[in-house]
Amino acid sequence: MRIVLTALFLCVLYSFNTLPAQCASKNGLKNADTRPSVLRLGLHVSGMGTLDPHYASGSQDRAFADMVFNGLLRYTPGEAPSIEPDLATHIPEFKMIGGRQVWTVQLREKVMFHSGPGVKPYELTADDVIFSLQKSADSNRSAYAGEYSNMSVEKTDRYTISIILEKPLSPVLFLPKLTNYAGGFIISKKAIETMGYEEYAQHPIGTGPFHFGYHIPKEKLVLKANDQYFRGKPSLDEVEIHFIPKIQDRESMFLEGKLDVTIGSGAKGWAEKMEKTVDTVIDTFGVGEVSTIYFNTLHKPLDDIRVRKALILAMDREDFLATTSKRVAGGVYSPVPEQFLPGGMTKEQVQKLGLGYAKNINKAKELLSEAGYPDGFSLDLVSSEKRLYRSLYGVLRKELAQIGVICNIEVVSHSAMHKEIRKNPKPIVIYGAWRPNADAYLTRFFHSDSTIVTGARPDTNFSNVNSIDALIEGARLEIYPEKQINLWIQSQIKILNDMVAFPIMYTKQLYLRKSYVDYGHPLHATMALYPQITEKTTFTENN
Amino acid sequence: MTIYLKILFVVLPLVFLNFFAAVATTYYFSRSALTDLAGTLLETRLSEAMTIASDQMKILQHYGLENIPASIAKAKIDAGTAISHIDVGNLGYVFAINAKGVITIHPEKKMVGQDVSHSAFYRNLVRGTGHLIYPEKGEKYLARSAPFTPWGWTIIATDPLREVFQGIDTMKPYILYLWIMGTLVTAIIIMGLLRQLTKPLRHLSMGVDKIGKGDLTAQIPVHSHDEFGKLSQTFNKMASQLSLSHQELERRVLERTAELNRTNRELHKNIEEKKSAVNALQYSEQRMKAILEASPIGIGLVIDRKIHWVNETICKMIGYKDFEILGKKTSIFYKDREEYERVGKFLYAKMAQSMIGQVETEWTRKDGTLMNCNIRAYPLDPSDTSLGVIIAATDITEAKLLESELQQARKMEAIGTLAGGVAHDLNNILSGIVSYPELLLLELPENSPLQKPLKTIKNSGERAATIVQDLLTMARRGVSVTEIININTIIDEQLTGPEFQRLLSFHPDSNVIVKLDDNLKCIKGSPAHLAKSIMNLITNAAEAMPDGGDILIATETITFETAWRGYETIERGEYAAVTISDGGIGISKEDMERIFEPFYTKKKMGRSGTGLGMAVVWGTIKDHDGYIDVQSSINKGATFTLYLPTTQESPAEAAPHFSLDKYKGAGEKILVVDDSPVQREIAESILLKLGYQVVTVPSGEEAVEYVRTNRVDLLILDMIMPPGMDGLDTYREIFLIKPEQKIIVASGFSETERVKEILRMSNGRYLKKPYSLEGIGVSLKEVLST
Repeated sequence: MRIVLTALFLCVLYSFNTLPAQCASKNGLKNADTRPSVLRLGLHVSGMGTLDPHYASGSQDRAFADMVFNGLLRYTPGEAPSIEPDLATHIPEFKMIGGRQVWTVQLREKVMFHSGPGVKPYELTADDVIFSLQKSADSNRSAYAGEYSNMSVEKTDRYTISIILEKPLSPVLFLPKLTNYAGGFIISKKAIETMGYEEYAQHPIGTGPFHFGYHIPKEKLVLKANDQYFRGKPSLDEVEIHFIPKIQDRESMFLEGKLDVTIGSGAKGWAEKMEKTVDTVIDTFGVGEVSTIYFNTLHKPLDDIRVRKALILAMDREDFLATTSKRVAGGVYSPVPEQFLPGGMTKEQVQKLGLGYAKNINKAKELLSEAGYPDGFSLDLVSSEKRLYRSLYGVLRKELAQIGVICNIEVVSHSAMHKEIRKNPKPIVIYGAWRPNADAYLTRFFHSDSTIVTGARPDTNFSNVNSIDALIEGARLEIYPEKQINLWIQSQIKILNDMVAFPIMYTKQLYLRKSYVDYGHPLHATMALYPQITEKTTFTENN
Repeated sequence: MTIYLKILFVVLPLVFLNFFAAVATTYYFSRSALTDLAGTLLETRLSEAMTIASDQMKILQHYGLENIPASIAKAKIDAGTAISHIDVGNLGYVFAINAKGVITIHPEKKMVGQDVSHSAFYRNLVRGTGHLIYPEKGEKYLARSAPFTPWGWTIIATDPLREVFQGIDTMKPYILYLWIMGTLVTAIIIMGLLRQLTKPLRHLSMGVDKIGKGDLTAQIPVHSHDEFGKLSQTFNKMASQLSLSHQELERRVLERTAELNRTNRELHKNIEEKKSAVNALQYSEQRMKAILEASPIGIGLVIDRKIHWVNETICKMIGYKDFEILGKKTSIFYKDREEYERVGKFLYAKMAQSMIGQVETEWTRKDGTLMNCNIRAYPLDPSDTSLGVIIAATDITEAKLLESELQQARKMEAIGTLAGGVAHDLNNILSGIVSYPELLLLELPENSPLQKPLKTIKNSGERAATIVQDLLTMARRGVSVTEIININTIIDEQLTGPEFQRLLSFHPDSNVIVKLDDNLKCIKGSPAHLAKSIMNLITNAAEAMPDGGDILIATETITFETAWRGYETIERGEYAAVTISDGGIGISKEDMERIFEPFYTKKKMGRSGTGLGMAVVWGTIKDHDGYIDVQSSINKGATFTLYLPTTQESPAEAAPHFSLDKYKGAGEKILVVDDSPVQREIAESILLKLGYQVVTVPSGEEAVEYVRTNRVDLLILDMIMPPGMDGLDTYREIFLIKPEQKIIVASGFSETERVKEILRMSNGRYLKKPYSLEGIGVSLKEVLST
């Protein structure tokens, strides 16, 4: 009898020991083979900037916000600037009521927030949306307050809100404010109220396909799949964002199989080299930063339009483009890049209007002579240490030397450059930036309020321009997109006609991925500045 | 033309013209109104275009861009794009011309930049005419224009007149329809009114028409007391008078007509009765004729021995058409006058005695050939045969031939049975004469003086055995037809053999022509018997030509789709045919019937033949289920053709040459059962020579007893052992004792059913007697090895 009991006990013991292993093998089928269901993303930064989406500006912050949060609308994954409903049931339209513009937004039902410390999952309602938009409009709690300050939000019912604008905006300008970009992310009211902002900022709660897992500063941030995501359970179990500033490190880790996706380099030849490695797929996509040469119209001798035009006629846009892989770079012919945004001009349009400024050294010298500088002059400029900046300034120096204009270029750190060009106006500034719409481009680079040092809200008007304020403001108030775009174009015609800025090129994102990674969407352009990982992103079967 | 129509011809054109005038006026004023309407539409569109250009200009002015060429260009492009998209109806559009007369805006890209400063319509524009109608691309356009001075433009809104008047043009069919329908409706109303007015006149006209056509009861309705009313009353009185006179006349005519009808009906009845009688008679005659025509017997009517009528069967029998023989004497059927007379006398005599005469005769067909015919005759009137005789003729040629063949077959069978019996006894007797010399020759040395006489005895015995074999063959009791053979091979062997060479030496003037079919089909048969038959025929052919001549030997494969009548009837099927013909003395008809009988010969018996040659041929061919055809006539030679059924099987490989050493026994014990002491002795000698132990018994009963108490390895069992048990009965008894007992059945005859039954039970072998060293040696080896 004792032997029998002992045998039974051993059987039960064995069963308890093997049960977890059996369960694990069943639940982790995707992990059971050697292929991970954890996607490892390598970014070129040393750590997270912020976890609060309303402050997100760096690539890592935007990528994190993109995976964890939703907007009322969203840029179609991989197909920006196309917009589609996200938390809203459809794209809203406006009505003019009492001289005010009213946009009514109907919310999706049964959208659940993630859980967090002390916060259980709950359904998103109009209260959360109102709370989010109000936070975005608060300059103390948002980096994008200016975009949301002129609107008020009212709750109609549990799933309906009204957004009221005192100054009407066209859909082209208004709808992007509601997207999953900048201040458009919807956050959990209850979480902030329960956890307090400080804790929330360490463990943000959204409604996106992935929720916050854990964060190892300077190393990685881990996101987990949101099984209750309203578009369906994500295919991936986890996403790891690894912070790897050096391109050499990212390259080697990718080749060693320690990364599945990573940002690459636009340096000429690098993409071609990586393309030859096994299992590597190279993706290039928008949106891209636009690099533009700004002439300081107050700086002698650039205050003379003949001198500015002489400088432009000494340059060839193709020479600038040659500094960067053609996979990621392309020409831009108006301050607003027509490739990514409405309101820009194509090469053909610019040439038809006589604003193409084809390189003509003789004409350039002629103009310089007319202006009284037959022998040229010298300029003191500042460049960032970044490859792209150094390359572009290098071409600038070479081109202008042809007409006797000597450029003395000081190379400083990137942040130092930013400070220097804002603090001490330079005769010429080359600046690369992405702005979400034409108004932002024009306002921040060409409105007098944005003039560095002296502007009402100093920003990036390096040219000291003030002649198109009316056009920019007129366009901003126009609610009909066609008329609005016409005014944006007229303002850019004046910029080009007065030659206060010379758009050079855009540079797209360049990412590597293993061939078994399928993003689940096309990849033409994304506002999130990374390839976008969604619930549809998966590892293919031949992984 | 009636008054009614005359009035219509006057009134209807007036109606037609009246409506035409109304419709044309409407159409004219409609076009004028549409022109004004289109002008208003063009002015509206022109105003829109002016507003667009003004708005662009205002923007330039508002934002201080009016001096920037690129801004102005952009404004003009935007204005141009918007203006060119203004719709003016479906075909119209808005365009602009600059101060130099060059088109700057136009919906068609190719038109932009065209210089129209020399066109007439541009000169009108310059003169400030805002309203235009101008030709363009083969049609006229209605246009409104206005200057836009800031940019020096003249903006024109234009639309082809085709579209302007499209509405009224669309209405054209409806207007035409209205015109036609209005005219028609008015015409119908006028026609109705006129018809009502002319009604009394029409009634009067109709009344006159009726009376004219004989209707004297016609009365015209009187609806008024005007001129038409009085005329109608007078007409009615006149018509009544006429009607009374007419009624009296008609009464008389009716009476007379009734009488005529009665007479006519009686005549018709008589005619119908006669027609029915004639029809019945014709029907009866046709039916009878059909019966006679359909009869398989030839039927004819003979009056005074002349052919009065014959049916189709007689015509087919004799090959004449009926018109060739009708009216002719029946002598045309007979080969000679004598036969004609004989048949006539016989038939008429018989008819006189018993009303029916019957006789067999030969009729001559049109082609000269003869046919056997049975004729029955019956008089139409027994008391007077001169009124005609019905004859019924039956072709009995086929029946006669079959009867002849049957008689021949029976005769051959009877002769064969007789010869077979004799041959069986002779065969046993000859065994000693053939076999002993063979054994003695084996024992004697080569240089023995007895060698020659013994060989002579042996050869004589073999020749006698040959005759016996001929007899057996003829009697059809000794031929085994189981070997697959090609007759060409047999013929080749015969033509190269010593017998043929000897024949040629006797007949040096004979020339043999051989035509063998390379594709000749094989047959199943006995090579020895066929060779014998062919050699017999060749010998006969040579001997039929004492002065020499050609002998043709040919073979071919022939297929008869239907039975073919030659010397005998050959059934349908495929045959290997062997033809042997000569140009010799030929065979008479009398001889022809008997040539296959044994011992029937024209040669001297014992000199050149045995009298069995052709009988052997007959017996052999019959044993092979074949047929013989003979074609011959005196001094024209003879042709013999043998038809042998083909087989699909292939010839067997040649048997190996016999070797005594190879067939030596190993001391096995053999029991010989034979009622003939000579046969037993021969068998014993051969078996001892072959190295076997031998025991012999004379009957089946003794064999059974021996086997019951002794072991033997094999039995050689004779088949016929009268009066005791025959071979089969003996084996059945032995089978009960030793079922596994090995056995060889020996017989001088071919394999009978009783022989086959033993072989089926025992898995033994059949041994053809007389016994020979080779036959016994080979058979024993085969059976003992199983």
